[in-house]
Amino acid sequence: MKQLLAIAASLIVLQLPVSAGVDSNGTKTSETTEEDTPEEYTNWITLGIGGVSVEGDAPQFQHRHRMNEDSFWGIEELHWEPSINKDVTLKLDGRAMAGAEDYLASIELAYRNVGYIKAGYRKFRSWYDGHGGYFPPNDLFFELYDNEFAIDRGSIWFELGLRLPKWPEITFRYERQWRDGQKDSTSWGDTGLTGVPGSNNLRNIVPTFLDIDETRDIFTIDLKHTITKTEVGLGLRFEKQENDNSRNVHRRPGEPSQDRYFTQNDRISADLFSVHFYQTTRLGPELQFSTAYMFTTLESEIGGDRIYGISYEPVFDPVYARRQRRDEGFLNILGGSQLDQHVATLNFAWRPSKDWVVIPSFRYEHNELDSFSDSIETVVPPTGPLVVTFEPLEALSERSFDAITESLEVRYTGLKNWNFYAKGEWMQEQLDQLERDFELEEETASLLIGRDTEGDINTQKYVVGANWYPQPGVNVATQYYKKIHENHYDHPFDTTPNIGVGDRYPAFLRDHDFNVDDFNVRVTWRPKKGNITFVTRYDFQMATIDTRGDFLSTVESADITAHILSESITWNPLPRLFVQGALHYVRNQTDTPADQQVGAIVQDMKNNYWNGTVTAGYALGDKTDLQVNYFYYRADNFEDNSASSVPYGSDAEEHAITATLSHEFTKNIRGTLRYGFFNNRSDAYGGRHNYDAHLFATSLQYRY
Amino acid sequence: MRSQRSAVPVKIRRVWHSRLTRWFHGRREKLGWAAGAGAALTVILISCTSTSTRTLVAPPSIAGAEFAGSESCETCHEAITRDFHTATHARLKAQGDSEKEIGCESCHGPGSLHVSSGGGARTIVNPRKSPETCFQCHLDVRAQFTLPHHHPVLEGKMSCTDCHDPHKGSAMKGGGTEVAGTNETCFQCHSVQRGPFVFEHEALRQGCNTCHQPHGSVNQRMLTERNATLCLKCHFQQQTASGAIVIGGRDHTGSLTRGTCWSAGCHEAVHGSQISSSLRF
Repeated sequence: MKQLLAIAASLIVLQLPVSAGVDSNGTKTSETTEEDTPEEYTNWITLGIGGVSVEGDAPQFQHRHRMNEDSFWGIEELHWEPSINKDVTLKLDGRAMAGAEDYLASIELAYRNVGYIKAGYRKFRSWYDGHGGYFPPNDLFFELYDNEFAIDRGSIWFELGLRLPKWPEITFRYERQWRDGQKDSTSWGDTGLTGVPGSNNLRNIVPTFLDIDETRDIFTIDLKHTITKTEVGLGLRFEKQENDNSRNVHRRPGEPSQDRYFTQNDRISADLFSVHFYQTTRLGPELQFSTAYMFTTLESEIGGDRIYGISYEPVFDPVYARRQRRDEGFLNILGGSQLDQHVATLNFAWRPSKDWVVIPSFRYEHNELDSFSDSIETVVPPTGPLVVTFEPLEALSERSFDAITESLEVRYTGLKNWNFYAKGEWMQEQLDQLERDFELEEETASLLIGRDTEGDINTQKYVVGANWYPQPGVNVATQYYKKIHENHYDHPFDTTPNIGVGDRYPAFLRDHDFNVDDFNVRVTWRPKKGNITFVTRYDFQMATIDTRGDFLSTVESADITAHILSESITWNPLPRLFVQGALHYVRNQTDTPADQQVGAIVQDMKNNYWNGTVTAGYALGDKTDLQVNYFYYRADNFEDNSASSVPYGSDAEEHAITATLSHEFTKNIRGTLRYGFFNNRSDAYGGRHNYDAHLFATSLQYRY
Repeated sequence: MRSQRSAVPVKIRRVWHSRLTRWFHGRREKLGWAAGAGAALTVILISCTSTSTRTLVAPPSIAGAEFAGSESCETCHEAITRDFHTATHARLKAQGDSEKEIGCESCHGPGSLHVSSGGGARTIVNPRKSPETCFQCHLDVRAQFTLPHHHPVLEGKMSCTDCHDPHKGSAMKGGGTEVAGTNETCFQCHSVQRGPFVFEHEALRQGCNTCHQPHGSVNQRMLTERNATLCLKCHFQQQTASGAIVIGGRDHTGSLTRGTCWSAGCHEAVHGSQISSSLRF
C-alpha cells in the first residue's frame, strides 16, 4: 500500500494525467473534451491505477457504481494498428484492469478484397449487494453472509469473413458466452422475529441469493450476395445452452425449530437451430422491397430439485425435523420442450415523391411448443405429523399460436422545415393451449389440474408526431403514442369450477386489456450567440389495465401514470470553459384498488425521484485541463407500513463529485489524476446501505 | 456439474481494503483538507500563470469541425445511408434551411475533419462508444440510466445499439414486423428467462417491459414496481367482500402481509414453471 500511495503522491506533484474515465455519475467521460484534431499517432496505450476506500456498506457502493471497493490497476486501453501495407490492416485492442475484473482482447486482420479474421475475449464483473429487507419497528436486518456478490459475464469469439470481389460474402462466427457467480434475489425468506403481535407476524425480509452458472456456444454462418438490384442472404445459427442455476433461501433464521434452508436447482440444456433467408430488391431510390423467412427449432432438457434441509444445497432427508406444513419440494425433475417457429415478413419502402415516404410491412408467425416434466413432489400433509410423502407428478403443455402483424408508416416532408409522420400497427393472434398436471400412481394417472385455452389477442399501436425546425438551431418535436392490447381467453376445458368457494385457477382470467397513452414534447434551442444549447423535454405516460375473472365483472386493476420533466443545458461561456447540466424530475405511480380493499397491506407503488448533474471542463493552460462533475439523486417514496406488511418504497439521497486533472506532458504523453467522493444515505434500510467512498485514480497515456 | 457450494459464500478481497480503510479513515479529515487545498492551489497557480487559446467542447462534439452535410457521408457509408429513409430516426429529417444540422451529423457531430482526414481516428462521434449522443434528445432515458438499478450503458459495458437500431427499420430491435420477436432482444443476454416452460407466465407474452424498466429503475431488478402491485396490476379482480383480497377464489390477504407474491414459497417461478401451474416454484 505504501507503494501505491507513493505513486499517487508522485503523480500529484507532477500534476499528472487525464484520459477517458468515469465521472461521479458513473458515466464514462469522453476524451473529446480535449481539442481533437486528426492525429499523427494512431496507436496508444493507457495505463491506470487507483483505489476506492469505502466506509459503510461496501457491497452497496460496488453495486451502485459498478466498481470494486479495493484497488484496480492495469491497462485501461490499448490500441495498436501497425502500418503494414495498403492491402493489409491489423488492429489490436485491449484492456486488462485487475481488481475491476475488466478484460478485453481483440484482434482483427483484414486483407482488402480477400477477407478478414477477428478474434477476441471479453470479461467484466457486475457487483451485487446480498442484503435482504429491513423491518423498521424493531430494527430487524439480517446479515447472514458476506454480501459481496458478483457475476462475471464473458465471451470469447472467432470470426472469419470472406470478401472476394464478385463472390458472395461469407461470414463464419463462433462465440462462447458465459455468466458465472452469485447475486442477490428479491425473493426473500421469511422471519417471525418481527415483534408484531398476532398470527400475521411473518415478514419476508431474509436475504436470499442466486448461484449462476450459464454457458452458451453460438455458431453462425451467413452468406450475402448481390445480383443486379437484389441482395440475397442466407443464415444458419446453431446454439447450445447449458444453465445450472439455483435459488438459495434461508427461512426463519434464528428461530428454534423453524430455522431451515432450501435450495432449488434449475438445470436446463437447450439446442437451438435457426435458418433464415432474406432478399432485398432496390428498384431505384423510390422503391425497395424485402422478404424474409426464418425457421427456428429449439429442443431442451431440464433437471433439478428443490430440497429443504439444514443448510444451503442440502441432501434430501425424508425425516428432516424442522420441516413445516408448506415446505413442499420436488426431486429428480426430468423433462423438456420442443419448440418450432416459422416467421415470414414482407416490407416495402416507397417514395412516391421526394416529399413522401410510405412503409407498409407485414409479418406472420406460427409457433408450436410442447413441454413436459416428470418429478417426485415431496409433500407435507395439511394435517397430522410433519412427515413427508412422495407424489410422482407429470406436467405437460401444448401451445400453438398464429400471429399476423401489419404496419403502415407514412412520412411527409413537403412543408419546409417540417416532418410529419404517422404509423399504425395491428396484430391479431390466435392461441391454442393445453395444460395438464397429473399425479401418477402405479398404473393410473389422476388429473390434478387441466386447462384448455383459446385465446384471441389483438394489439393496436398508433404513433403520430411532427418535427419542426422553425429556424436554424431550433427544433420542436412532439409525439403521441397509443397502444391497445386486448386478451380474451375461453376455456373449453377446465377442472376447476370458477364459481363458488375454493381455488379457481388455472382457467380463471377471461379478459385482460391494456391501454397505454404516451405523449412527449421536446424543444431544442441553440441561440445564434452565446454558445449555449437548451433541451427541454416532457413525457407523460398513462396506462390502465382492465381485468375480468370468470363470473365476475371487469375491474380496472391498475392505473399507472408518469410525468417526466427533463432539462439539459450545454454552455461554452469561454473557449476554454464548458458547462453541462441536466435535471430530471419524475413522478411515477402505480395505483391498484388493493389499498382500498385492505389498506396499507398493499400500498400504491411510487417511483418518484429527481436527479441532476453538472459537469464543467476548463482549460487551465495549454496542456492542462480540469473537469469537475457533481451528481445528486433523491427518491423519497418510503411509507412505513410495517404494521401491515413489508415497506418497499425507496428513500435514498446520493451525492457524488469527481474532479479530473489532465495534463499533456509531451505531444504523445498524457496523464490524468482523478478524485471522487460518493455519498449515499438511505433511511429505508435503517442506514444499512449508507456509505461514504473516496476514489483515487490516475492514468498515463502514451501515443505512438 | 457445479461444485458443492459452501454453506456461506466465501468472503474475499478484504485485506487490502481493510488496511487502506483503516489508514485512510484515521486521517480522513486532514487528508480531505490537504487534498482540497492542494488541488485548489494547483488550479489557481496553473490558471493564473498561463494564457491559453485552446478550445474545450462538451461531449459529444468535435472541436474545430464544421458541418459537411450528409452527402459527404454517402461516399464511404453508402450501405448505411441508402436505407436510412426506412429508419425510425428518419422522422427527424426535414427539407429546409436546417437540413444540414439534422442529418448524419446531428448524431455523429460535425464531420468536416472526418472527411478531410479520410476517416481519421477521433474525428467523428461514435455513439456506440458513448451514449451522450442519444441523450441529447432522449433526456428521460439518461435519467433512467442514472438510477440505482440500471443496465450498464453509462459504464460502457453495453451500448444503446445493442437494443436499438438507429440506421434502419424500427429503432426497437425485435417486435412489430421485425423477424425477431419482441423479447428476443432481452433473451440475447437473459437466455434463462426464455425457458421454455411447461407452465409459462402469460406476462412474458405481453413483453418483458410489463414488469421491468429496460433502462433503469429505482427498484431492484429494474422492476416497474417493487411490491405486490407488480402482480396485482394484472391479477387484481373484482372483490365481492370487503377487507380481503381474493385472487382466483383464494383469500390472499394474509399472504400479502408477508410482502411480495414471489417470496419464499408462494409464486417464485415468475417467468414460468416446469412443475406448477400456479408458478409456485
